[in-house]
Amino acid sequence: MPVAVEEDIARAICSDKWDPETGLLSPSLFKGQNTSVSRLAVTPLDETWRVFRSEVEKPPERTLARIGTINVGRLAEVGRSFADNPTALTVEPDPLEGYPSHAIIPQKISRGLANQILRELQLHSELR
Amino acid sequence: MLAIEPPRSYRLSDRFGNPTEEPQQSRVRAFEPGQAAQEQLVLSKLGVNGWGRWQYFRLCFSDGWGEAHQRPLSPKSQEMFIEALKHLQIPAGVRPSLFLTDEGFLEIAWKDSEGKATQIEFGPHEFEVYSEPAGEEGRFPYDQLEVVLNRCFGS
Repeated sequence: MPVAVEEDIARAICSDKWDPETGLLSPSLFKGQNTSVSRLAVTPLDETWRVFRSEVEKPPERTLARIGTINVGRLAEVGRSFADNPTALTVEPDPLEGYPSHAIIPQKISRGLANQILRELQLHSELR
Repeated sequence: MLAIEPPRSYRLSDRFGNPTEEPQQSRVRAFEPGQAAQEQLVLSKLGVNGWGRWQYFRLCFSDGWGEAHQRPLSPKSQEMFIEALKHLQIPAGVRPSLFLTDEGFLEIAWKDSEGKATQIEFGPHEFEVYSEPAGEEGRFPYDQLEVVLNRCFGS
């Protein structure tokens, strides 16, 4: 069963997809199929930093720079209203061992749609 | 001395070895022919930030660098990235950036003063252009590189 539209999801933003000098994000953060995300209803944002550091970060090459969050209903709306190719976006639970909040966006996301999603993404810095 | 180690203290990768020992091989590497010209080209088109990110992707991203074993920088992508920079006219006043995709392809990106996005990704056989100001989105074979870049970004 897809994740409810009321839920928020988080996407790890690492140094290969984020340029701190320009503040630009790469659309390849969402472009493609089976995009990995984390459900904030299962793992709260504070704890998601720790999860992403163990699951996604791989220093010294790849470091976790930000976390991007978006509401599942808003994500679906962005997909539906994408004029070039309206896309029914869903989030499907895909719990992994030690990572129960893992989920995926299974649909194929084009570069144009990925750019629209980036505009809706709320960026979070880690509070230290 | 701190009684408790900071939570995210950095540790040199084992690959860097012990910097106090004499290396068995010289760590000073000679430039390959044409390398200096490439460095200058990237610096002149992308600035110090873009050049620095290029070095970062070239030198630091080894095989299996992400959670899904993303690919290292593709030599073909880098070759075509350099070729494209020879023809690419980046608009004055924008701050270009450089990214590495999960497939190991380089991607140039910038936003203009109105926040409109432009991206060019260099795959092994074709390149992808997305330009909101030019109203262009598509994949093209490399024999169209100069034509497409002039059409989208020519002065």
